[in-house]
Amino acid sequence: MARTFERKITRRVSDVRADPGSFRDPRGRIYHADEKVYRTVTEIGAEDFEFVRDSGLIERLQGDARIIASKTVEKDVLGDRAADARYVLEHPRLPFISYPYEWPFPALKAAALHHLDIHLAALAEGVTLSDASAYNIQFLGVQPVFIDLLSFRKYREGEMWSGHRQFCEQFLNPLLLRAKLGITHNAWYRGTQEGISAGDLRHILPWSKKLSRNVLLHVVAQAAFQKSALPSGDSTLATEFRFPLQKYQRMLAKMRRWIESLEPADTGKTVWQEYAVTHNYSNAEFTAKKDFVARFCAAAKPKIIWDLGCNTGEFSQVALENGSELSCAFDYDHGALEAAFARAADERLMLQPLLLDAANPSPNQGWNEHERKGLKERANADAVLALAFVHHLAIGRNIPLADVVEWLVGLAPQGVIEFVPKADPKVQELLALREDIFPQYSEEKFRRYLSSRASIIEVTTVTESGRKLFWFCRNG
Amino acid sequence: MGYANTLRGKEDSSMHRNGRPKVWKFAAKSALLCAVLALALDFSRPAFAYLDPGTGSIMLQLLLGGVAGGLVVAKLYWHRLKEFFVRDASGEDLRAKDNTPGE
Repeated sequence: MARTFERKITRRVSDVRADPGSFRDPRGRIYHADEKVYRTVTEIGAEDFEFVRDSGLIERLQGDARIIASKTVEKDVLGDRAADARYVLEHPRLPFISYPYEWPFPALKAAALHHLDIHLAALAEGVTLSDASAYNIQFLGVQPVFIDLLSFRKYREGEMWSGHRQFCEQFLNPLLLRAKLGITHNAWYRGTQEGISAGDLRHILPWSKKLSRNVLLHVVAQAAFQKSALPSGDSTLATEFRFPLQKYQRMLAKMRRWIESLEPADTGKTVWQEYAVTHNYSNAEFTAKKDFVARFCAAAKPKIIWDLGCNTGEFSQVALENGSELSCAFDYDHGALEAAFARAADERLMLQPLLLDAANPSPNQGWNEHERKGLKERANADAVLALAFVHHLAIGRNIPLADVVEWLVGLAPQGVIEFVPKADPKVQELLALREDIFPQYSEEKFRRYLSSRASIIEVTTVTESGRKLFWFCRNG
Repeated sequence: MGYANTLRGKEDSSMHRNGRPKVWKFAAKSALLCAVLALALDFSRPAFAYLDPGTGSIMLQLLLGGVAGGLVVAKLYWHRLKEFFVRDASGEDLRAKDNTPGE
């Protein structure tokens, strides 16, 4: 008996991996083992954890699915790794982890509002949030979920909003960049990972955009105060000041109202947002494509589907209506992603719109290049859809066709890829202003590359111009 | 001389032009904010590296914390406030003469 037990523990311990992105908070850490997610609560965090647990707040928020589910488990499930833990919690594994630099504007806005709602709900129970990291929010479709239980701690009377600066940098300022200047936040955010500082934003906002109480306070004044050293050196005066709870709550509520009012400044329709209306597909072609995707999903039964070049999410919706449980819908056009977000919200779809430039996907980055995972490391799709996608990489971005096929087949074990022939008007548009340096771009070569890595299950021609859908199943 | 930035000064006074209700409380708060903002902007200097990165947020929340918080900010910045007005009145910059820490 004893030997069996020992072996069991040894096996468990060898499988336990500390999450490389979970190291900042000494109150606990995330571990992965047996396809499960565990969170330790250390001695430092135990008192706050017990207070928050006993307040009933966690259960109530979990009941509304606003924060991630959890249950307390035996410590030995993590073996030695739980040596410094007072408690070990188990969380369900989220189907896909995304980062704020991959979110379109409405997702970042929804995450910001969610964070403030959680914080307000917590304060009403004598609990507060110790930080305001956007990475603590994840999505199920377009529904934000708060995932860091250790951010909750006991509210101490008179304390300030300690996460205010971080909230501004990780939520508010990136939203203002788009709302005030029409610049999307993603590239900048991916560069800094911590968002946009008030100091930087203040420099690029024109005077006309600073003429509001909110911008003056949260951007201009905060940046100015941040820049100037405390003059008297008596900073205890500031830390001893008691910030009334009512004012704290009002500050959060006002921030919420402000963020709710923010919309992108560049309201003109983008090319892809209107694609479904203006593109040169006939209805018959559209129907044929939808039928093919529906048939594929009904037969292959992919739980998680990655829809590359998702546009406004029509085909993701077809997949979801035919048995798929989640679609990660990628596009590089913000207008299309925003329309897809609206579709998912309106139709209550498990569709998560995400920004992707396929020629430059999110890399491994952050501390030790492992804190935030690159896209390939997170690839967990059961199937991939790449409709009207390949020519944008192979011709639009000069990526060799063989490489595009290899990348796509590497993302999921099965899927549907559309091949658009060179004679198609859309490919001709791509070639209109440039020399055709793509002799390898042909259906014959495409078939050859695909066949070398996968079985072609079914092929259907969907247009007179010769667009074809290839249903593939990866070898091995 | 040379710290005053007239452009920035204009920005602060614009607070009064944005058409919000001119109730007394708001006016008092705005005046306090403008004064402090003027000082903060006027005396913006490279921050000391050891400063708490949340200084900007803390000062802002003191302001939002009502009259008491505003007074703390005023107290913290009293030295600069004094310098600002004395220098303006006399045309001299007292900063170089008076380096006494605290008040």
